[in-house]
Amino acid sequence: MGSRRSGPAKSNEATGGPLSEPVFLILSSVSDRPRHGYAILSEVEQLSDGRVRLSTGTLYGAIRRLLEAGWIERHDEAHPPTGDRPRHVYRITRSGRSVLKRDVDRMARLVELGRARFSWRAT
Amino acid sequence: MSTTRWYGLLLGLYPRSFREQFGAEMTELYRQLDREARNQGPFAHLILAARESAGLSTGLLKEWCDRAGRLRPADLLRARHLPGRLWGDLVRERDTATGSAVLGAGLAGIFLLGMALAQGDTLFLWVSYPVAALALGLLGGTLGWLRGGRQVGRGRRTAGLLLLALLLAPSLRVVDLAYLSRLADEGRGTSYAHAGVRAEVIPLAAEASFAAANRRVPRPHDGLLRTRMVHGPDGRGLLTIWQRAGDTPPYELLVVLGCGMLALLTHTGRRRLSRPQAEPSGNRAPS
Repeated sequence: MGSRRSGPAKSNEATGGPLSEPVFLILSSVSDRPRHGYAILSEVEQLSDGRVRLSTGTLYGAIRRLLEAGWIERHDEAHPPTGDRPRHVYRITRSGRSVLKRDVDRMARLVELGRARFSWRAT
Repeated sequence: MSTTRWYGLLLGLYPRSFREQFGAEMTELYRQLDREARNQGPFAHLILAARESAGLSTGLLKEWCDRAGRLRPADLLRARHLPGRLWGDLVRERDTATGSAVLGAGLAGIFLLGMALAQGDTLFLWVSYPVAALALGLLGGTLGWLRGGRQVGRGRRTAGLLLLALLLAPSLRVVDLAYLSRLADEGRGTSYAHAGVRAEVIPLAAEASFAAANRRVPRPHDGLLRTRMVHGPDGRGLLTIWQRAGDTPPYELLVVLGCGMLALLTHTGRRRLSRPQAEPSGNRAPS
């Protein structure tokens, strides 16, 4: 890891604000099981119905910040494919999971609010 | 150039710590994506290359901005020593005879190029400073070698700093000489320019010698102070200022006070630095 002299810049997420879409999708993709870079890219694309296709630069920039925040962990792959070098896999941590849950709850409240307002207007 | 090579070049612009942590993994992943895209046809390959180039370019900007955002006031204050560090730290921290010799030769090149650009018109200007710089480089290198042996492996950083200096110094020198020549009377313009160059070489050389001998470098920074004085509003150059040492104008007094404040703030920052650092919190958030 790079310099740890001070933390990353404060963002919306640091103050409990909403997660950005790539961060949300990356956290979601590693929430059920550990995944390596390629698997995360594929999973993000699948979760977003092909709408979000991350570049490797975006992916690893986000991974670096998520690691620094302590929301994901990095491990060596337990059973790498035969002949391949062991790859790094990433998995969500407890604090990452609570952040993800908080954001899902926040969005659920918004959806609830939106639906209530929409139905009120429709009547 | 293959797209993989292009990818490697862009990746090479990321901060070193990032490359060490993720570089191999990213390259491997890109190769995998590249193979898949080639199988899907040239258009898919082009799209991938464009997307990755854009992603890497914005990513590296973000990484560097993120790093810059972590600078503390003490780091910024230390930047005032940058001219001295280009020389002094190379001797003090590298302890490398090779690095200092390279730097000395590079300084010679800088002065040659600067003088050429400034159209210096005397042989003395063309010859004396490159030779002096080379000699000082060798002296610093010898002192460093006597003190701590050789670490030739760090020559790459030396070369990087040298390249930076080569890019920056000539343009600064042109401004310096033009400014001094304009302020001085026509007949003696070259003399004042001459003094201005010396004013910047002498403190750097002194710092290098102090550093190589492992002695404390006097502060406030002599180079900063004298260079500022050279650029003073009276425009009379270093020699004139020395002659008027007992008659300090308000501008020079401000420079002295400013240097004192900077030194005080830097020392405060250093004390803060020496305290134990807290472990990184788990609540830091990505952007």
